[in-house]
Amino acid sequence: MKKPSFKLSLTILIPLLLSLIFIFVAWQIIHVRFTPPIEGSIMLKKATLYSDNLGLCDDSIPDNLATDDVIVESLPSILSHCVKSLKSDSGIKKHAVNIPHEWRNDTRLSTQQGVGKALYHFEFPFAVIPEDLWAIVLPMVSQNTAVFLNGNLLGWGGSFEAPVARNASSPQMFTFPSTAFHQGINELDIYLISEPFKSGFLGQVHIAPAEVITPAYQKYSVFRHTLPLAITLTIAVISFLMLLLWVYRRQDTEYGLFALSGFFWVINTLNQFVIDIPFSGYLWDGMIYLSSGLLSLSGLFFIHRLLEKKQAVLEKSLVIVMVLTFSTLLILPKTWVHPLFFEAGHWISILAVLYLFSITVIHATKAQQIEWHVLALAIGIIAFFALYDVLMMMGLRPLYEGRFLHFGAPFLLISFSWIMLQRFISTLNKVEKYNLELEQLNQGLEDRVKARGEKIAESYEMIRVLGQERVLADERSRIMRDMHDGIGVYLTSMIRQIENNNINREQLSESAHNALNDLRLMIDSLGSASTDIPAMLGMFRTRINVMLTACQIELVWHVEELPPVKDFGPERALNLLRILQEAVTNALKHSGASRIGLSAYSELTPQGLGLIKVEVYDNGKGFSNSKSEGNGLKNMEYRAKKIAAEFKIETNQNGSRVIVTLPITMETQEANST
Amino acid sequence: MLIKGLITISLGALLFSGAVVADTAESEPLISYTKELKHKRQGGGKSTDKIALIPLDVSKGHCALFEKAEVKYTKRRYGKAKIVSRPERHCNPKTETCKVKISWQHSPTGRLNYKVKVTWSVGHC
Repeated sequence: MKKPSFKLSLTILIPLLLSLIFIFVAWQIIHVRFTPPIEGSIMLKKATLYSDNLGLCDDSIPDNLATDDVIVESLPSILSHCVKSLKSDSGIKKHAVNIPHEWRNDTRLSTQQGVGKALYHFEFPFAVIPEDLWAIVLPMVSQNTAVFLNGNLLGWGGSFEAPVARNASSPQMFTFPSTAFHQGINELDIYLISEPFKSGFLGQVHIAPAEVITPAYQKYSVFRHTLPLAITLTIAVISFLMLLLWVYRRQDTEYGLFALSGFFWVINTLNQFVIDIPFSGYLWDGMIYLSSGLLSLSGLFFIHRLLEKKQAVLEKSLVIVMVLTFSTLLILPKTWVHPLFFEAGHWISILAVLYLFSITVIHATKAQQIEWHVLALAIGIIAFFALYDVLMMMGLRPLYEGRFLHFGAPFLLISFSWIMLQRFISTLNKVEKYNLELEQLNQGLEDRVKARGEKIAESYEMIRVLGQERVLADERSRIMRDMHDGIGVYLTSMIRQIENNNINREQLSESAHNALNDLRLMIDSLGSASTDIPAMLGMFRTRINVMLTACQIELVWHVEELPPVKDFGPERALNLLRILQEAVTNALKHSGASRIGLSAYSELTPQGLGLIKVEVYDNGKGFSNSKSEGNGLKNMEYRAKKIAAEFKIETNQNGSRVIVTLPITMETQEANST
Repeated sequence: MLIKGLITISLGALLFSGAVVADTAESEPLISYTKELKHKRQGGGKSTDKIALIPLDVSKGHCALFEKAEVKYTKRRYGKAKIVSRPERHCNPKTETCKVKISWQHSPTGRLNYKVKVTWSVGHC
C-alpha cells in the first residue's frame, strides 16, 4: 500500500511543489520595481513634452569636446543650448504628457523616425528650500539623458556621440545640493535621446533627499545592472567549462551545444549591461537579434540531444530558415530591420522556447524523474519571461518595466546542474558496481589460475617423478650394460678357466685385476666427480699411481683448469676413464716406457669451438699401427665415438701418444659432425 | 467626657488640616496633551498653529491652572515646530482664553506630526 502513495508523491506532488516554487520566484522577479520610500520621495507625474521635430539638437555630440586643445563649446553648454532652443522655439511641438511616457504610444510623435530627441519639462512648487543633498532618480530611460534643474545641468548618462550611451538597464541617479532648488516653482528638464525613435520612453521620475532614495536606487541597480552581469559571467564560465568537457568528450555533443548556447546567451545579454557599445547601433542590434536566433537554434539542438530526440529534418529546416532570415539583414534597408526583427524575431524565439517546453514536459511525464521536471519548469519559466518580453515589444506591457528573459538563465542552470549531478551520481554508482563485478571476476580468475597452477605443479611433479624413474632405469640399464661389457667379460673369462680346469694363474690374476680396475672405474664414474673432469682425473691418478710406482715407471701429470663439459655424466666419464685406463695399460704392458704422462688442457679452434684435450703419452718404443690394430684400440675408438669425442693415436720409435678430444658443448660437436 | 470629646475633635481637625497641606505640597503636576497636529505637504510647507487649551477636570472647588507648554513630536522628518507664544502662568481656561501659538515648517518630502504637552497646577478657583 505504501509504494503507490510514494510514487504518487514523486510523480505529482514534487513537480507540483517545484512548479509553485518556480512560479512564485518568477512572479516575484517580474514584479521587481524601483520602490523608494512612499513618503520620502516625490514622484513627478505630469510633464510637458517638447519633441525635437525640427532637429534643433544634434544627433551626435562628439566626446572629444572635453579633451580638444581648443574647446569652442563644451558639452554642458551644447546641451543647455539644446534645451533652451527646444523650449523657446515656436516651431517645436509640445504637449502635456503623463509620466511614465512611451513615445511609441503617443500618436502625436508618430511622424518621427530615426534618432528620437525630446525634452520633458516638469514644474513643481517648493514652499521651503530643503537642506542637504538631494537626488533625482530615473529608474528606466530608453537610452541617454541629461537632467537640468532650474536651468542648471545636473548631469548626463554617458556619451552623446553616436552610438549614444545605452542606459536601458542602467538606472540613473543625479545628486545635487539642495541649494539648486528655488522657493516657489522649480523647473526640471529631462532631455532624452533614443535610437530607434520607437523604443524611446521615460520611466518614473523621482526626486528626494539623497539619503532616502539612494538605498532604493542601489537595490534596483543591482537588480537591473549588476545581477544580469553576474548571471552573464556565470554562464560564460560554465559554458567555457562545458566547452572543455566537450573537447575531452567529443561524442557528447550536448555539452558542446550547451557551450554554444551559453555563448549566444552571453552575447544576447550584453544589451542588459553594456552602456557604450563598440560599433553602430544598427550592427549592435543586428548582433543581438542574430544571437537571439542562434541561441534559439542551438538551445533547441541542445535539448534534442539531452532528451535523445532525433529530429534531423526539423533541425535542417530550421538551419535553412535561420540562414535565409538573417541573409535578409544584408538586403533589407536599415529602417526595415528594426520593425522586422524587433517583433518577428522575438516571436521566433518564443515559439522555439514553447516548443522546447512542450517536449520537455512530455519527456518529464514519461521519464518520471525529478530532474526532467525541473528542466521542464526551467524552460517553462524562460518561456514565461520570453512571452513577457514579447508582450512588451508588442506594446501590451510597458517598456519601462524592463526585460526579464535574461533572468531565466539561473533556472536553466539549476536544472542542468541537477541533471549533471544525477548523471555524475549515476556514473559513480555504475563505476562502483562495475568495480565490484570486476573484483569478483578477478577473484574468480585468481581462483581458477590457482587451481590451474596447482594442476600444472602436480603435472610437473609427475613428470619429474617419471623422469627420475626413467633416469634411474636408464642408469640401471647402463650400469648393467657396463658391468656386462666390463667386469662381466673378465668374470666370464675367469669362470671359463676354472670350469675348463685350464687355470692360468697369470691370466686369472690379470682378469681379476682387470675386473677390479673396471669396478673401480665404474665406482669413480658414478661419484660426484663424474661431471668434473679434473677431479675425475685426480681419482684416476690415485688408481694408476700405485700400479706405476710398483713398476717403477715415472708418472708425469699435467692437468690444467678445465671448463665444465655440457652433459658430461657418469656414462661419458666411464667411457673416458676406460679409454685412459686402456691407454695406460697398453703403455705399461707393451711400450717398455720408463715414463708415462697424462696431460689435460683446453683450447680454442680457429672457428671458436672450445675443446678439452686429454693425452696419455709414454717414452716407450712405440708400435706399428697395423700390428696394434687389436681389440684394445678398436674398443678405445668405439668408446670415443660413443662419448662424441675425437680419438687419435700418434706413435713412433720415441713413444706413443693417445689423444682424446672432447668438445665443450655437445651441440657444437653435433653441428660439426652433421 | 466632654473634655475627651473636645480633644478628639481637635486632634481630628488638626489631622485633617495637615492632610490638605500635604496634598498641596506633594501632589504631582497635572499634564495633558493637545490633539495631534499633522502637516505633510509634498513641496514642503510652513505656517503657524494656534491651539486653545481646554480646561482640565480636577477636584471640586479647585481649578487646573496653566504652568507651561512644550512641543512633543510624534512624527518628524525634515521639519520643526516651535512655540512662539503661550498663555500667562496660572491662566485658567475656565475663566479666560488660554492659547498656544506654534510656528512649524517642513521641507519637501518632509512630515511633521506633533502634540503640545501642557503642564498644569491645581489651585483654588
